[in-house]
Amino acid sequence: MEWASVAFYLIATVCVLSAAGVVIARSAVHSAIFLILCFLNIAATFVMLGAEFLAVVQVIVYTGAILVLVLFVLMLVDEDQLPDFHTGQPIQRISGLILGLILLLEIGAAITARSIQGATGGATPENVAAVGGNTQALGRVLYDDNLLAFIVVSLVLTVAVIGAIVLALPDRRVGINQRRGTGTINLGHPVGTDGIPLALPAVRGESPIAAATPGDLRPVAGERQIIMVRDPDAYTEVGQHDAAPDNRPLIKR
Amino acid sequence: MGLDLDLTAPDLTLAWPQLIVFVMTVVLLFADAFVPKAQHFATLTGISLVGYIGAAFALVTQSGQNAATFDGAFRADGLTVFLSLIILVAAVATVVISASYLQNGEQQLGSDGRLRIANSVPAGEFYVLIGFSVFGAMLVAAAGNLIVLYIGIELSALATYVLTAFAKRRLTSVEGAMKYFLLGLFASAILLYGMTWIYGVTGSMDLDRIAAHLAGTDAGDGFTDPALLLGLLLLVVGIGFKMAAVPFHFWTPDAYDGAPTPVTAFMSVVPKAAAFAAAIRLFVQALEPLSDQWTTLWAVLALVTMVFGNVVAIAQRNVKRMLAYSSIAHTGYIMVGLAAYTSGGTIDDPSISSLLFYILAYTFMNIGAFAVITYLQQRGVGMMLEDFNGLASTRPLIAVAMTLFMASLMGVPPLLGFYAKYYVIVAAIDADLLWLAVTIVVASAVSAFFYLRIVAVMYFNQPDGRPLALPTRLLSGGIGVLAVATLLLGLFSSPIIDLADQWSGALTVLGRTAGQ
Amino acid sequence: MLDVGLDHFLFLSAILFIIGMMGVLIRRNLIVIFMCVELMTNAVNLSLVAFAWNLNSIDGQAFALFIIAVAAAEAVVGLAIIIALSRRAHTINVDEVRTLRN
Repeated sequence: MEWASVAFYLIATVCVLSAAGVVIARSAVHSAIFLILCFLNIAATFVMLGAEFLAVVQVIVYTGAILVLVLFVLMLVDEDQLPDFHTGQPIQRISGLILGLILLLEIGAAITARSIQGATGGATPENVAAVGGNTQALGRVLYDDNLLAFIVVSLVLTVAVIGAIVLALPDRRVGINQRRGTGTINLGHPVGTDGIPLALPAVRGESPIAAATPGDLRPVAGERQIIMVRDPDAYTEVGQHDAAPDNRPLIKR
Repeated sequence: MGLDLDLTAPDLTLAWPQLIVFVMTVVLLFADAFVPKAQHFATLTGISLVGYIGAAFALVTQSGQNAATFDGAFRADGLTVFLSLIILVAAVATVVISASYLQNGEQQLGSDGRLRIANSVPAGEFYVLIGFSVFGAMLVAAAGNLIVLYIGIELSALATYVLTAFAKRRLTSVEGAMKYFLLGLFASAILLYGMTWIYGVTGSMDLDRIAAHLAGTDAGDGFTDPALLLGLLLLVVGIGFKMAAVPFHFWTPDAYDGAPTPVTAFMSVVPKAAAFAAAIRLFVQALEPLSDQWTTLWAVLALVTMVFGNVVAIAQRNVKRMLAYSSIAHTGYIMVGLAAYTSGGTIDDPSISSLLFYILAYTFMNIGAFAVITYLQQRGVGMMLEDFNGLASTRPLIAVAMTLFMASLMGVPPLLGFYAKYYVIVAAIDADLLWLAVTIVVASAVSAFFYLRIVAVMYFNQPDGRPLALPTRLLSGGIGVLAVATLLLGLFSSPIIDLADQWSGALTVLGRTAGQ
Repeated sequence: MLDVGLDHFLFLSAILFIIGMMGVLIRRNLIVIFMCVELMTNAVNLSLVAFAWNLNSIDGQAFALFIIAVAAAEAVVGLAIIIALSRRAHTINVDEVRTLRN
């Protein structure tokens, strides 16, 4: 056996084992790390297949960007509080297993028994070398035959950016809460800087405290006030409003 | 397909409608940032409407064409025109019915009987995402190779995922979006695997070249090659997910129920139209030589989808969920058009044109039904069956419109939905699929139960004295136009179907000539 | 050069695809399901590149590049939805989390 074959079997074994690790690992963080391992090995197979540029993109985009993002979100989000995806009945697991085996058999049959041969293109190793290598060859195809797709992918990325801004931006206090001037004040103020605005200036979009000039704020004499700040999320559901008689910040001595 | 660099400028004059939608969306992005607050909403609505209607008129430049540009990646032919027309009609209708929602936000009835705004939706981003989704769907309709097809589907779907989660202060909205997103991604992966196999056995991404290669290898033992069949199966599953066919429909009720109602109206038509566009491009254009295999698959799926959708819809008391299952059932009717395709399709083959006509009809009546729900939601209710109590006495015109939409969805004779079903049934009988034709009739009879229940509730129950909606001119006008279209467009069905016939005929003839 | 051929790469890709698919069907954690879908997409990329290598065609590599770009966009949207979901989910009691569940 050649060294290349040995390398292939080694890479393939690590790939399959780490992919299984993604599914089996109990902790999502472990899954993500297994996935990184798997993707790195897939990048190695890309190199074996003469797609050096894609291998680099695979490492930079998949492991460098996407999986780091996944890990970041894993740290940010409390997994236990996310709803489950399935009801997780055992029947679903068993059917998943059977479906997977059937598909594996089908794909196996397709790989071993396929008879139709595709039309071969002109990108023989010699031609690719003649234009300067894999990256150059890919560039030629990208800007020539696939120009439209190349343009439209930029729109896909734009949609992703807009979507992320809309969905992940914390709720602005819009609607009722804003009109009623709910302010949020950090509890951790140094003593003496707390204050209540003498008159609530009706500036839309800003908390009255932030909008107040220092002159509007009456310094607090004596003991420090504790300002109870409502959890912004308390406003998400109707019914929460009905719990308190009015929607002004609760102020307690 | 060598490596020679051949940088010819694409012929953009073939792509006027798509360009207009694209430019409109970019203009919207900037208008959202720079237009002062007072004119903000009116300006954005105006830009959207002008853009979509302008693009619809620009379709004239593409009609009768049969050309390709961008190295064959973009096709301007009859199918492009008809599907783009459907998508643009849906876009205009969505903009019209979402206006009141965007202005008033999502209201809920508090326990003290007062209305509260539970969700307000940023109008700028809403219109921009609708614009991108429409552009993606139009791109699928015009796709000439697998790459553009895939990217068009993803662009359209990605914008729709975000739109589904737009009422992000309501958990059901975000949860529905999550389910839609994950299953959509899963479907994309399956679809991609299918495309990969097709590419692997034909050596080309170009739809016409795939057809040519398959026709060239036909000489041997026919199409029993397992690799080809595997690719076909994966494509059917992937597209089936996208169009919400039955074993792959689980995301539909949750996503439809959770999404803001105008978005539900949009996503019940545009991504579905994009999925059918992809199906026609992939199966009729590229895999035409395998039509014996895929028509069987679609026929079985159509049967299951029709029966399941209609039967489950009966049990729903939430009107949005009921309409979700009803839209699954309609997917089944539309798929019959695909199943009725006969190999080597001739100009006389009515299957694809009946499919196209059905999607057009479905656009009007389904968006109309969701428009009525949007109207009712202004008073904070409108999701449950009880919310329709006595609508006939409090809002008689809206009740009449809803009755029209329900009757049309059911398939009552002079209405649009009847003609749509009629043409599909004719196509099925032409293709010797009598059992499918009978199923359509039986399923429609079953569907009468839940469609008529809404009508009965509107006319026979007493109003329960909830606060009434403030009529918005744009929304009321939109419901009126959709109702009139549902009532009258059926009478003009024969010129439309002729047009569809001519266009889809051009497509199949093209597929054959490429094959020879 | 290699005495491993196209079939070997296709088998590897098929196994990865199916592992990913079973993960989607079996696991319940949203983020893990998302990762499993990414695994499936990567398996597809591997098949594409292998076919492209076998057919002497660069098109497959170009498609794989586009798939990676789209996957990045999808990851952004998906994780944004997850963040929005976690914001909602933790303020609402368990009964309401189950709202969509039947």
